[in-house]
Amino acid sequence: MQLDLSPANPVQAGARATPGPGELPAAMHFTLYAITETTTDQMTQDHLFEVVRFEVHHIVDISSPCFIDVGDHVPHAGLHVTQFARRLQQDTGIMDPAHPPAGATQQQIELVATAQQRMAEIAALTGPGGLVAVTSASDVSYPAVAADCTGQADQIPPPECMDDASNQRRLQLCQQTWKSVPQLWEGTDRVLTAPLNGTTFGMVLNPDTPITHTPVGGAQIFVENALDGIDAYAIYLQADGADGPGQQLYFGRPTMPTRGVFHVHLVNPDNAALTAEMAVFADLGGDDVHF
Amino acid sequence: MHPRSVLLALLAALTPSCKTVDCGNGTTERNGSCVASSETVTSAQCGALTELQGNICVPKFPPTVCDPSTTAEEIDPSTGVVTCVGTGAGGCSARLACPTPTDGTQAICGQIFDFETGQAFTQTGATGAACNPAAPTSTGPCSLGIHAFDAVAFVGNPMGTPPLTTSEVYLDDCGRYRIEGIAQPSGPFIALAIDDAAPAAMGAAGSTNPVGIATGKLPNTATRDLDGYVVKGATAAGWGMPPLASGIYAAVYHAKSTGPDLASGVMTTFGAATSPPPTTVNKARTFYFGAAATMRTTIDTSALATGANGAALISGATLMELYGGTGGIPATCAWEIHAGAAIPGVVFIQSFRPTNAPGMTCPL
Repeated sequence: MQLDLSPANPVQAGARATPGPGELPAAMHFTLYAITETTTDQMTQDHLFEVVRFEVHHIVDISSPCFIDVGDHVPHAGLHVTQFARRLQQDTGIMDPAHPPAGATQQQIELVATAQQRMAEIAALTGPGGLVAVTSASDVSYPAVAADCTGQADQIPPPECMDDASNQRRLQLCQQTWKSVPQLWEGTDRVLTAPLNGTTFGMVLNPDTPITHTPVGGAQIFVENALDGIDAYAIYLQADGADGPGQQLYFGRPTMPTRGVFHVHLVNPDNAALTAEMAVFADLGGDDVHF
Repeated sequence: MHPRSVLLALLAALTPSCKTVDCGNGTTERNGSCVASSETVTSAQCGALTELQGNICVPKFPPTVCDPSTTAEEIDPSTGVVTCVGTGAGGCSARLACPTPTDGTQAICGQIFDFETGQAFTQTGATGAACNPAAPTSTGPCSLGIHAFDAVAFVGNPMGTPPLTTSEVYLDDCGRYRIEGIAQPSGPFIALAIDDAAPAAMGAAGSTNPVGIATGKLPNTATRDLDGYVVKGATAAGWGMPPLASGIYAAVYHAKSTGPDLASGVMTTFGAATSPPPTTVNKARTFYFGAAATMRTTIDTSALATGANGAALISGATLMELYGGTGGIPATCAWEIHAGAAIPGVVFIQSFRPTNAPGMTCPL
């Protein structure tokens, strides 16, 4: 299925951030339900079948203790990305690439300038009008964050700890968590569609993205449910660990299929301005044009 | 029969059809098996004229239907309440519809005032008729043009910054304006530039000297009641200080959080953008009108605070600073803080309203 959430769709706050205006707490998830209806003796019965859970996050979470650099190609694996420019400034001794100290090489100047640009782009990507991702859902949290850089071995060092030992401990604890919880989503600004962990299904619609000003949007989700006899769909918001579907955010009925594809216009029951569009590819065999 | 044909026939007979699972009521097929529903709900709890949608009962009919030929829907995004706002008749006292966009853009609407008199800028005998942008008049609201800009980019390069993309720019002879479909800028603020539409009348000539107003960018939002202004070229030149050639940042202090009432006894405060709130008073950079003056025509060089017209003119405004106010309101209130800038030849006007002081509730 393809799900296009509008720019007005609520976004979850960062893992350790206080929700801002219009933001949802981090420990929540969205659930898409397929609904079948049966009517007997003027009594309607709705059966809700959970199809998929997902979350909606800013493209990177700078408050996450595991928003880190990972891989052989990065200069400091395990470094919290918010400290990337500071660490390169420390490595090179260049505070301001426009006024480098004597002896600074061109390569060092470029490294620091690029790092500062990276910080600026992260701020743009996560600020108002920034990118928002539709991701896999998990109710697991990271291990506790240590009070300082010399915390216990099972606690993640705070982001500002950028020494090699802290980076190594942060890398180990984050990767350990990711391995045990493959659905726990952690984005990276290095490749926006390839998160550090979890799955990025796609993006919330954004007609004017920062940096490139190109429109993006649309999330693709493969599900195991057979969706060819569904009467309606609904998306609910629910706190992690709570019972029941939660609060209904969208509801819509599929319209007549075109070449095997159903279209569902989803609308918030209380606010007609809050909408989403969904295409359900329930039976591609019904497309006698392409198949 | 050819041996290959026999094999194909056998294969076809052994291959199951695509649809092998037929699930009963209350179950559905998932990964080839029938599974029970996560939740089953009945309509027993639903009242009259409501129907079951998932696990909630909702009205069968929309709570409000606006007549499309005479009204426009205005949805309050926080409550979902729909208001039908008339699109015709009602004269200048009727509110102009300002629909909330849903496509990531922003709408900005409001009334244009004459900065000199503080009164709404209307055409004599105005009826609420829409202006024809293709044929601007020589006087009145229909002589004006309004363009949206990235405010920060515009301050840095007033002549070279392209306007933001918009859809309809509506103006009527009551001086009411509505700009829809404003594409979001990369900076945090949107500026509206108001000047005469006719090229020959742009600048200090015509109905107005170039005027700027600004508001925050907010996608999928209708920013309503943003006051626009015109300032006659002769009026701006007559102030003397600050010099128009260097740009004037004008503050209008309102006595209440909404409405037109003005605040007297307010001193403009200055401060670095990096360390809000602004608290410094700088008389050398601030110019007020007379204590009893309702018209904004003559600067009173001895005045130390706003008079009856609530206005102050500020010289040398820059984005490196923030501006606010002190005085004229109870201790439970504080003045809004805004960024500002002086653009050569432009009067940039900012409304300031009282808001809650930290930890307090402002009654205004």
